[in-house]
Amino acid sequence: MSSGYDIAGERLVAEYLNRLAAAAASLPADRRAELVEELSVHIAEARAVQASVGAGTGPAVADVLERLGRPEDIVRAAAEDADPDAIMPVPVRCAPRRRALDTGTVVLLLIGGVLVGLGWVAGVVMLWTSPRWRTSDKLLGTLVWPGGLAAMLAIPRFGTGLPPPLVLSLLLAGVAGPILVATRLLRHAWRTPPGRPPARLAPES
Amino acid sequence: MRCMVAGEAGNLVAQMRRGVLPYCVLAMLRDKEQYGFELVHALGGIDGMVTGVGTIYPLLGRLRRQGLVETTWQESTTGPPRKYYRLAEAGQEALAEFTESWERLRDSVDDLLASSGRDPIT
Repeated sequence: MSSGYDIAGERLVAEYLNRLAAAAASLPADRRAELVEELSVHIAEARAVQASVGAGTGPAVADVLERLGRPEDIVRAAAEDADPDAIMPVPVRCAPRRRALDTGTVVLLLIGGVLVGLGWVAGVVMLWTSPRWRTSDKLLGTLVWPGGLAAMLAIPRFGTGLPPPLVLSLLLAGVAGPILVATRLLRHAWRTPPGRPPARLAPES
Repeated sequence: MRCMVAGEAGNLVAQMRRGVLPYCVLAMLRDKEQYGFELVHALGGIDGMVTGVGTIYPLLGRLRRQGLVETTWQESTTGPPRKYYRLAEAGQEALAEFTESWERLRDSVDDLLASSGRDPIT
């Protein structure tokens, strides 16, 4: 047990924690309470260590507080939590599950209109909500052609009055377009193999 | 690129230290779980981390919210229960990836610094 009640030290600690609570007024209440509690526990542990070696007076407490740093700096570090990736980019790997998702998106775009009715629409939703592709790729995937290969099926039906060469060209374009775009989408999706540096460290193109 | 002024390197080092600090914390938890005070004490060994160690607490909170570390409460004989931090699986993966990236970067920068001036292009 400590030999005497260290009033000066107690006052320093109380001032510090008050400053911390005041600086943390802008944080959410639970965050603020957590921070104040953690810091006061830390200070108590540090003082306990000092007391066990026989030093628990004012100056030693001031050392502990100085090492902790200014409460405003601690709160600023907590406030930066608003954009955690700014401080701590979490590596985003191209996991096998992600690749299956990307492949599924492209397949739906290609043949979803034919086989699964509104499958093409689902493919478009998955395309636009995916972080894998640039906007230009996404536009290509949506506009070339709407409905994917299913659009080609409409050509014989609506093109009965057209000259055969034209119908043939439309059919070719109707097939080649989606397949070429699908190939491009897949190539771009798979260009970041696992193990490469985290994609988020670079600005999104 | 801005003109580099002597002394700016110090600011750059501070930024780099700030960037690797989360991964240093993960590395400290690799072998065993620790509580806040222990981690702060160990952090003092990192070059330059002399003051401002209090910022590790918001950092630990962030790592927990990101699912990279987990916390448990354990009874302590010397006082109130302590909050222990340990590496979660996601944290192990993040640390492994960082280690790989860091070693690659470190080696290439070291090579560059060591060889510059030795093989002039004339």
